[in-house]
Amino acid sequence: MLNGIAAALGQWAKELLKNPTLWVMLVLPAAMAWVVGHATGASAVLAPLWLVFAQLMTGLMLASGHWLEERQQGTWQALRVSPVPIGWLLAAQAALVTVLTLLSELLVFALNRAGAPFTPAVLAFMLVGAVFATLLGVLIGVASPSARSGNLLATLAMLVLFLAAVAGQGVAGGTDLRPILGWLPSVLTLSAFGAAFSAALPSLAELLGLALWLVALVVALRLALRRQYADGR
Amino acid sequence: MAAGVEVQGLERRFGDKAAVRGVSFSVAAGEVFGLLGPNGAGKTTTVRMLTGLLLPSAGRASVAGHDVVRERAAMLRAIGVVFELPALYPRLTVRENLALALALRAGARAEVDDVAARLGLTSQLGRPVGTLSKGWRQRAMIARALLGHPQVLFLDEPTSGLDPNAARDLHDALRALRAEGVTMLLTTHDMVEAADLCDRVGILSEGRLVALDTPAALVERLQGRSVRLRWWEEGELREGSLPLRDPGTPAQVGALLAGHRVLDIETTGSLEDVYRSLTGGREGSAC
Repeated sequence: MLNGIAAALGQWAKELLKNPTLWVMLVLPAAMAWVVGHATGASAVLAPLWLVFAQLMTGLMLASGHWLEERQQGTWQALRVSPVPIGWLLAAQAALVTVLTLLSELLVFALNRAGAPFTPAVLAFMLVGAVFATLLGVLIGVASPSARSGNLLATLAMLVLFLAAVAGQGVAGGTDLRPILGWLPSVLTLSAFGAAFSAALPSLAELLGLALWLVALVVALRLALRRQYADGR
Repeated sequence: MAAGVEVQGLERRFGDKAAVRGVSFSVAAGEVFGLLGPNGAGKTTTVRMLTGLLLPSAGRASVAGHDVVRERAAMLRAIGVVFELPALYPRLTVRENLALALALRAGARAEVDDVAARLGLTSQLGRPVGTLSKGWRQRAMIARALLGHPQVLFLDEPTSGLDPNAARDLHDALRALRAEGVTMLLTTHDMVEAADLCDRVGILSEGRLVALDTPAALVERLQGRSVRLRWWEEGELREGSLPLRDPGTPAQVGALLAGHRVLDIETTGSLEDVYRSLTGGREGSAC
């Protein structure tokens, strides 16, 4: 079965790479970060924020768009009647989107690192953020009642999470929004990046918070799939 | 011969509304079975339950000997499904779409070419699905459903939206599959298609199976062939129907033709007439 999923992944990768929107989503965060960084001379300060932006733009938006499209064109239904459990197929496709998100983040980092060290911790939080954003995108794509509401919800989620991260960036400047926004995954990831960039360890609470978000998303996704079978949505 | 499909008291409710109510039928291996019914009759809901897409509220069903709920994984290995919508990746070529489906069924690579040849699809293998006509896309869907040698093939409105030529070509392809002994369960609103392709048909109305037999037997049992006439009599348009089997019918028709201005004369007794009488004359379509 794993060989079959690997072969199918190759075809899904072709399908994704033939989608022009993908290329925009991959390159846009790095390009925007480069332009803003050069204009303001604040590449190093803003790099963690652009990494979060890359996670949301590529992971969340690409994943939600992909699964909304799968449902709209009927291929989602076809996958559900294939002998491979749908959870496995979902995980395989999500892994593909996560890899693409990670590529987008690496591009942002390469163009805007401004001397910041590339450590295993930075890579780990790039991966954790990419997984979170992809899972959220998958959940929106799979569970939204329609393509329109799904696109709206994904855009809203991206705006809220990114603006929260922007506000979170301001926490260091003295505006204490942590009690309100600190539990949001984008703020937790930003904070973890901040620690990793300065070679410090993120707090245990932040790591626990991120882990809880991932578990919550996996549980929500399982419930959404069960509900789809039970309710025929 | 083992049953291809066994359905016993199948039910599905959505809240208070019952979409399928106690439906029972069986499809033998190698048989082509048609499920007919107007909009909202429960055809697609029934097929969705039989293909593991929807959990039944009550009743039991097995496909290729596997319970559709308890042995869902084994059942899915034994079936192929052709959806009403073209469920293919538009940016991938036909070959890539088939290769993807084959990978998930652990089939041999040569199967793509074999299935494409069986359906006359070889010339289209290199074309992106998004550039194909609906007829070719429908063939590609059938090709995909045949990968992995399914024991039972489900087809949901296979000719819906096709032009007459494409529909005729698809009928030929389905006849060829029938000749190969592929068990098929198809939903359709096309009575000619049902009468032509199906060994037996079941007619659904408001979630219940209201008739089940061969198309010829249904016509004979429920309608009977008759001759229908419309004529002018004393300034009024009259209409009447006379059974063809009745020995007095020829004389009555002769008298009407001799004594009145007859506008129409036609023989009736088709599956469509049976369908209309059983479903209250509502327009048949996908549901």
